[in-house]
Amino acid sequence: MLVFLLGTSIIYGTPRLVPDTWLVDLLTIVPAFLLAGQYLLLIRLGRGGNLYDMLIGAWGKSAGRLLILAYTVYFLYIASRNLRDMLELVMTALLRNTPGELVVILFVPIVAFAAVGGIAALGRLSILIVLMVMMFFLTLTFLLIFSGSVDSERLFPFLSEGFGKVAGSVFRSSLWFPYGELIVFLVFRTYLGESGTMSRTCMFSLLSSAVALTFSDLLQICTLGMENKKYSVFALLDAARLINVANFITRMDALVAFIFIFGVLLKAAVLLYAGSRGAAVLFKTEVNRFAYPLAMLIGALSLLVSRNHAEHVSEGLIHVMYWLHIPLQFIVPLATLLLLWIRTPGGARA
Amino acid sequence: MTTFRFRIDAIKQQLQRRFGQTTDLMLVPIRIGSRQGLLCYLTTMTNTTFLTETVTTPLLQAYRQGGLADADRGLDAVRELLFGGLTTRLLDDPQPLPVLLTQGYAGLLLDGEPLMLMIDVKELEKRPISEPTTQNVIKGPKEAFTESADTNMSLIRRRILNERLRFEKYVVGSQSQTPVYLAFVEGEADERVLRDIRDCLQGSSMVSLFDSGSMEQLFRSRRGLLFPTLYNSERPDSICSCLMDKRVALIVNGSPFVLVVPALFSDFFKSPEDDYQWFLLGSFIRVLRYLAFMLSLSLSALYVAATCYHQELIPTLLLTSIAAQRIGIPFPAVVEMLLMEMTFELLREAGTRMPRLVGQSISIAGALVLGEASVQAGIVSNITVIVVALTAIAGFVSPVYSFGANIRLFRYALIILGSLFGLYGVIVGFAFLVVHLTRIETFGIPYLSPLARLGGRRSH
Repeated sequence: MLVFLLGTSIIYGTPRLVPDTWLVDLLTIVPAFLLAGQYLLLIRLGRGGNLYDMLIGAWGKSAGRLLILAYTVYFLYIASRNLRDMLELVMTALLRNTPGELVVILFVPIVAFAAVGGIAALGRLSILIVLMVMMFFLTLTFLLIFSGSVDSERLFPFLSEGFGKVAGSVFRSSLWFPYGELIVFLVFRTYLGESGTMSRTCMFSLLSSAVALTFSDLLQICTLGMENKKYSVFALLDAARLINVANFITRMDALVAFIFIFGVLLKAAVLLYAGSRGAAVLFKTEVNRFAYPLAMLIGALSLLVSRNHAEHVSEGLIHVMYWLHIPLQFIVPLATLLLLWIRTPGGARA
Repeated sequence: MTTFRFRIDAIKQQLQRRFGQTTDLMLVPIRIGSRQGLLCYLTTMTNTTFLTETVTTPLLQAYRQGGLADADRGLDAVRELLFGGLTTRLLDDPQPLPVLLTQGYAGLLLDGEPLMLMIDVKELEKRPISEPTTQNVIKGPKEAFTESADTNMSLIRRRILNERLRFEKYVVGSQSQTPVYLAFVEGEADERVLRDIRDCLQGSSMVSLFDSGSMEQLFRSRRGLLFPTLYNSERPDSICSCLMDKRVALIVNGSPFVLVVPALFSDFFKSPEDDYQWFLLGSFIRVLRYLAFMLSLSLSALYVAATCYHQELIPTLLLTSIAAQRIGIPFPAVVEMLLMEMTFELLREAGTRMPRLVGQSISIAGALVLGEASVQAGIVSNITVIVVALTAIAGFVSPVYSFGANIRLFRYALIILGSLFGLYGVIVGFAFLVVHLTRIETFGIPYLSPLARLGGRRSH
């Protein structure tokens, strides 16, 4: 069930700040494992509770609740950012003249509908979507190869700006964007089986998503070339536009839109579910009461979150990274971990 | 303690009170030995010849030969001597008498006796076993269920020669008192599912039940709106393979369609014929069915979306030919599409309701007048007719009719979404469908089960 991770990252890819993005993807897996290890340790210390239980356990009642609120807002915010991503794609690729509000209004109820279904339905959804995305992705690759637009020469020059830049990018951005969001799954911890199996699936999904991402980036670079990829807004979309098999199968933008919309659907639904769970813990009511109102909130937020696409991207890469991702994905869990460690009596630790 | 004794007059009065002036109630006074007796039955539910042959004549003969001279031995002696091979019951209370009469029993009572003998002489007119009308196969058994539940049970039993096969009887419908039989293989079927079904059958508040279709509404889960969660079949072989597959069948008396619960998404794409062929061919056809399902659902919506919003997605050559055909068509693509789809629905409905002899004229009117002429008159374009025809044909591919029937409605929603939001609308519609599918559970089993099993392995 942990294949959720692939969600949007396949399409959006990692932030492209340096030429050798595919190498970044491959390298990110190392710190990502460390990050995942941290979460897994947290799970082991949390002894069966989910993230929200752990927060209250470690920080006490009031501070814990404050942190839960922070996480709830954070999840909702990420969900709305994802929605915005999709909105931008739909606006650029499919519906140029339709107002964005309508697009969002159509989409949000479905996200909520998926979230209300609960974790089991989300799991089934994720499997279905991952299968679908994989299938479409493979189709895309084959079509690109057949239309002769893949050229491995475009991968060079290799490491033109030195290794340091690549390594820097790993920690500055890629680590937090797709992988850090694993923290969502701490919320569902109680539903996802024992910690032993969980750690294995976690590692497996990390690895597979890293491979998929690397592959996607390689494909994009090979088709578009480094310069183009750097400036393109939706690289995969642009790559798909190059498909031309025998002048008949042309312009497979729709395929990419399909992948993207389903990815966002899944991710937003998971985040929404986590968010409504947080709200339910805070206000001590059941989860499903929050799904629809919060979905509306996400929809509104996704429209209000930034004025235009450029602002949206820069906000995502700079502000969100430092102000939200790093504290909430790394520092707070680490502190929780330490607190739990201290609070656990010596005997129970082993 | 005074034991109840049946009195002819009292019973006569009781029956006449309960049944009123109905013509099919027969109350025949008879004599056994020196005692007055009464034979009562409903002519509509019993076989009168059978009754005379097996009940009245032996009684008479026995009396003549003096075998029953010792008439004081009572009715249980009569039962032992004469009706050994028949289904009989002894009543010590007249309360269930009317119910038993409606079920095809004949009642025999002697004046002043504490017991009353009920003999099952039910025989009803029924249709012989014929070929299935909705689920045809080219190669494979050609028997189909009939309206009689007894025949249906026998059709199942003669295929599964296993002593663990069980039939449980329930009565549903407060007015119609329809017998419903639960068939399952003991030890195979899920106990939880069985318990749920029993609860559901016993707690049903139905007034009348004439077809398994109404039964389906009883079991349909609240979440499964678009997709049927009960499989129905009129083919004994397909029901038997379901029974072997740990499922439970429901046989409703009066309906040739037997239901199977729980039914999963993939069941509706299986035809029993698939298993009787070379596996590659069977699998190929099964994949074809899934494709056809997708096609019938989305093709018309995609066409509308593409022609209205995304001309660039269509290959240039195709685009020019579509555009050339659409010149001079007065309607937008959506209206055109909805018009043709509705026409087709009308044709289909008319075709099924028509008397069979007139049916042919419908197809001529549909194909020639509507299809050919409307294109030539420039009301609809050729390509629309092709698309509608293709979706219609693809829609018929599902081996189970009820599956295609429900999903047809969703096609209209998709067409409208496609016309309003282009490809995005169609994709969102599909997303809704997928989410809906993943949320359905029947008796605790996810509807998309084979996929979920894959997932189960992944998560544990």
